[in-house]
Parts: sequence; structure tokens; C-alpha cells
Amino acid sequence: MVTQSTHPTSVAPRVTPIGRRAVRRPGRSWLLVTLVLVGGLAGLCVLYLEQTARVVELGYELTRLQRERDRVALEVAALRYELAQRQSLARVEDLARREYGMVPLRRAESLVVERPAPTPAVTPPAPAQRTAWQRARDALFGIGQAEAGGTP
Amino acid sequence: MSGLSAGRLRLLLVAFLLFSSAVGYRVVSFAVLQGPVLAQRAEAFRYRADLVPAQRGEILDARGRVLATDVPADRVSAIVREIEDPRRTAQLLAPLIGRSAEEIEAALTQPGREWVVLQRQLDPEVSAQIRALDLPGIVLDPEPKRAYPMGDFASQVLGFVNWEYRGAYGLEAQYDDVVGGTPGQLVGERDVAGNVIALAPSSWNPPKDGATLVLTIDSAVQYLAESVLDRTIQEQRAAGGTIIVMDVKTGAILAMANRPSFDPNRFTEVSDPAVFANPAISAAYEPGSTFKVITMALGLEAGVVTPQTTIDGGAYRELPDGTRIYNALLQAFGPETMTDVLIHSSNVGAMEVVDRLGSERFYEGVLRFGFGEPTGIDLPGEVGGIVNLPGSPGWSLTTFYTNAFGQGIAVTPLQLVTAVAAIANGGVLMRPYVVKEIRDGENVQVIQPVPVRRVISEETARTLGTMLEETMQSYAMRFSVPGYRIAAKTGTAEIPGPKGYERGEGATIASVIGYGPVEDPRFCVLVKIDRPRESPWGERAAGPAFAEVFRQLLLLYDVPPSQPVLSGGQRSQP
Repeated sequence: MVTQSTHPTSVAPRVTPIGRRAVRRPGRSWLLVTLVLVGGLAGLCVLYLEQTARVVELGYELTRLQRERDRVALEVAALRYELAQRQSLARVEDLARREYGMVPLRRAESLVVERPAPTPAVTPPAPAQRTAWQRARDALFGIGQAEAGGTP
Repeated sequence: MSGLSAGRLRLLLVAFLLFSSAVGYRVVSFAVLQGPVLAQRAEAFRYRADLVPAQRGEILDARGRVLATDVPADRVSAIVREIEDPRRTAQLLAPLIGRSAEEIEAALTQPGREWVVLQRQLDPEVSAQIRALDLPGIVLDPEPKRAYPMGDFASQVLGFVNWEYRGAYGLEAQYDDVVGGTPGQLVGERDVAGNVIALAPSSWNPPKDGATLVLTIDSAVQYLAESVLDRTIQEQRAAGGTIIVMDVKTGAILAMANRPSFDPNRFTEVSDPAVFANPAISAAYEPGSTFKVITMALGLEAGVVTPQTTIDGGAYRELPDGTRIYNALLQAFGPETMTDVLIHSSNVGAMEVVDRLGSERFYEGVLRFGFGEPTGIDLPGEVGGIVNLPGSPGWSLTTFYTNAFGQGIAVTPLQLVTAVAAIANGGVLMRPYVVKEIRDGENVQVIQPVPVRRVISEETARTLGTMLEETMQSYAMRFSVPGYRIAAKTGTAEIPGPKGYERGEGATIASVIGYGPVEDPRFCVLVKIDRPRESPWGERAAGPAFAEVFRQLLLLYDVPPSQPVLSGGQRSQP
């Protein structure tokens, strides 16, 4: 049974919605989820492709650098060979004779040189003995003392 | 639908079925029947295993000078089917690669060949010129090339690297496993240009570069030895020769010079491969009177003679069978001490020593000094010489007596140097060696000297040193090392041939062996001149070279003279 109140009640003013009524459609949320998922997947794919492209690019860069390293190594080897050729004793002798007019040593004389008598080593003066008071003061103020010994 | 249309449709259907069958067959054929093979081929096309060559280690002398190293080089090849104009290609390449145009054209037009190598080990400058020509079908591939910056310097010690990049002869062969390294391998998926695709799976087994060898050979001493040897051979119009310088305390070889020699950079141009061998270790010869040093050492050690023992053997010794063995030039020296025997180089005196020793003690001593077996030096191709022992087919009483003065016995120059160096070293025989350090990355292996055995007592070594010093003084008119006490003995050996010993000009081997300074021996030097034509005698043909080597050697190593030198280079008598 339905009873109705006899008391006057305050009636809220009726509000008439303007435009279309909001209709809750269950398929819409699925679309949203799908779009998000697809978007996310697409993002991941782009990220993957970006990473892949980067790896490939780095691979080629690595190959290029390896070739560059090999080229430099070969250049170093060539320079080392040229250096060794220039150090060849036959070449050095030829240069010495032709350009500097040098001749091979035929006779050598040894001269007896008197070695000067060794001077006695100078003994450094013994450091002055510090008093107990000085030692205590130095310890208190963190004062250190260095001693010079031997030759530099 | 008309009957004609139906017929056409049927025809189309049949055609379609036939076409489909053909396509189906091909699909099944590719996918199923040939599938595994084609897959393998595809993989092989994409995945390529490239051998990555290891860098061959360098060879340095004792002062760090580079004696052998790798330099960049290229190999030029042709893809025959891509060559558009073989004649023009051949004409353009000919002056660059050192082959005739006809030869190249013939190579480019060979039927049935897809690929032909035109030249190897091209210099980078030549490669750049070929690259600039941009010839279709001509390709350049990098390949390692071994180079010897000093040309024929110590070539028989170093050896060379052959076309297969393996060591041949000398140290390159002996230490091939050490210097050669281990090649690596790169397996990976490639793109069209041959670049490894980073995303695809790949494996990288890096090469292990070869170790660097540091030799005991001192390039300054080697150069000195080679220069002196060249001059002497020219002056004496000799066929060749050998000079060896050894550190007597360690057995380290400071120089090993041989002539004739070759340039290892041009080993392909050598007409006689025998020149590749190192005669200092592989060519045995009859040492002649230099061997009297060994005979005397054994006599002194056994106590059968002393320096003062005097004999008067006349000009010859007559054996029981009537054979007479003479002194050189049939000389009779009269009464002579054992020191005089060395000074006169008396064959009769040497025969007297072995007579007193007896064959058993003599040959036991000869073997103890290391004759008859390789010294064990770290070089390939060493021979042991020939020592005919009593009881062997080559031995006779004549052999026994001629062995006393170094005939009828064959030794290598290195054996003789090692044996005399043992006397200089107080009686301890050292094993000779030429590699003193192996540098393999961070690991450095230092080769230590190896004493083999004591061959004579220190006392005998000292006594013999004094006798040999007097012998050296007796050569003062011909050669000397002013200011220094040097022990030495000359030798003039006859060369055996098919019909007995050779006669006439250039039929001897002239040599001098010695060590010094006597008070503290450091170096042992052998100078051996093969077939000198100016003078057959060791004293004249090899003596000046010996003195020159010693003079420069002592200056080079800052060894001060022990005696004052009078004006004119004559040494004051002690």
C-alpha cells in the first residue's frame, strides 16, 4: 500500500536538463580501454623501433670505428717501420759519413784521470733538544717539526 | 552461358590448375624438398665467419731496435666475370704490380675461373694508385706483410715469413708459435655491404697477438761484425765467412754474422735456397789449428802436460803403418814448450798431447766440450758436427792424430765458440741462446743463462788463458789489440773434397778464435773466412778482422784497457 503524506512538503524546483540526457553506454568504456591499450602498444612499438634503429645505428658506428681503428693501427705500423728503417745502422753510418764528414774511430787513447780525494761527509748538526715545556706546548698546539736529512 | 563460354572457362580452369600445380610444385620443392639445403645456403649467405688475423709479434735487438715487424699491405685480385676490358685492365695494372700486361691478361681470361689473385703484399702507395683507377672487377683486400727494416741484417738468424704467413728459417720458424699469435674469428649476420648487423646474433672470438721477442743480438755488435766480415771477404777475395761474438759468462750471442746472406724482404728472389740456412750452426767444417786449444785444455786438465812440458818432435810424426803426419810447411821447431806448441801451431806437439792422453780420455773430453752434438741454441737447423769415435767406421789411428790439430773432425762455428767460451768462463760450458726476453702483453718471460756442465777446472782455464795470451802476443806483427790482454789462436784448415784435401788457391778456411780481456773475460770472438785467395793463412786472412772486432767491441762496451799503450799502438810488455 502506498501512503501519501498530507503535510505540505517543500518541493525542490524541477530542473529540466538542457541538451541530451547523459546515457550510460557500456561499450564506450571498452573503446576507451582499447584506445589506451592500442595507444600504449603503439608507443611501445615506436619505442622498440626507436631502440632497434638506435642499436642498428650504433652497430654501423661500431663497424666504422673498428675500421678507423684498423686504419690507424696500420698507419702506426707503417710509421714504426719507417722509423726502424731510419734507425738502420747502415743508414746512420752513411749519413754520418756523407753529410757530417765523420770517419770511423781507428785509435782510441785512454787517459788516466786522478780521481779527487773524497771529501768527508758533512754531518748535519744535531737538532737542539727541546724542553719538556716546549714539547708539551707543541703537542697542545699541534706544532710539528721536520728534520732535513741526506741530499735532496 | 553459351557453350563457347563454358569451353573457355574450362580452358581457363585447366590453365589455372596447371599454373597452380606448377606454383605448388615449386613451393613444395623450395619449402620441403630443397628446404634444408636452401635454408643452409641462405644462412651461409647471411652469416659469414671471417678470420681475423693476429698481429705477429715484433723482433727487437738487445737495444730495442726493430729487426722484424708487420706493415700494412694489400692483395689485388680480380673477379673474372666482372672484368669489362681485360686488355685495358692488364695494361693499367702491369706497371703497378710488377707483372707483364700479357701475363695479367692471360690470368684475367682464363676459362672457368671466377677469381684470380694478381699480386700480393702491395705497398699502401700502390694500393692507393690501383684504388684510384676504379677498375671494374678489381678488388683489394688487406693482408699482413712481414718486413725487415734493416734488410739483410742478421738475416740468417731472423729467418723470414713465407706466403702462408708462417715462419720459415731462423727465429721466425723457431718461435713461430710464440710470435705468430692465434687468429680470431667473427661470425655474424651481414648486410649487403658486408657490415655485421648489430641486432642479429653474432660471436666474436678475438685474435691473440703474437709475443715480442727481445734478442741477445746487439745491433751495434752485429753491424760491426757484418761490416768487418764484408771488408775482409772483399780484401781476401774469399767465398764467404762467419763471425760470432758471445758473452762468455752467459752464453748470450751478441752477433752472428754470415756471408753470403740474403734480404728476407726479397726471399722470393733468392736463387739458391741453401743461403737461407745459418752456416754458423748448420755448416760443419774442419776447424784446423784453432782446435789445438781444446786439445791443450784436455792435456792440461789430465795433467799429462804443463805449459813448461818440452818436446822435440821434429817435422813429422810417423805412425806404425808408416803414415807420416807433418807440421804445416814441413817445419821442424826443435825443442818447444807446450806454449810454444800453441805459438808455432805445431801439429807434432798437438799429436804428442793426444798421444799422452790416449784416445779414451781425448774423445771423452772432446764430447764433454760439446762437440758431436748440437749446442741446444734456440735456432732451428743446428747440426752436431762429426766426431768419429774409436770403433766407428770413420775412425783410424790417423784420424786420432789428425783430430789433435782439428783435421778429420767437423764442428760448427758455434760449437767451437761455445767450447772456447767455456775456457774463458773458468771452465763452465754455457748453453748459447739468442732470445733473452719474451714479452707477451703484461707477461715478460726473461730467459736465464743455462750452465751445461764444467768441462775443465778453473786452474786449467787460467793456465790455458795465459798460454793463449802469449800466443796472441806472438801475432803482434800481424794483428793486435793494443792495451788489452787477449787470448787467441789462429787456424788454417784444409778443406776435404771427394779426392782428399783440396789444393791450390782458395783451398783453406782461415780462422781465429779468442777471448778477452784475459783478466776478466767477457767476449769470445770467432772469425772464420772461407776460401781466402789473398792469403790462405788464418793469421793473415782472419787475424786483422779479429783484432778489429775486438778493438771496437771493447770500446763499444766501455771496457778500459788494462795496459798502457805506447806510441804507434805497441803495447808495453808486462
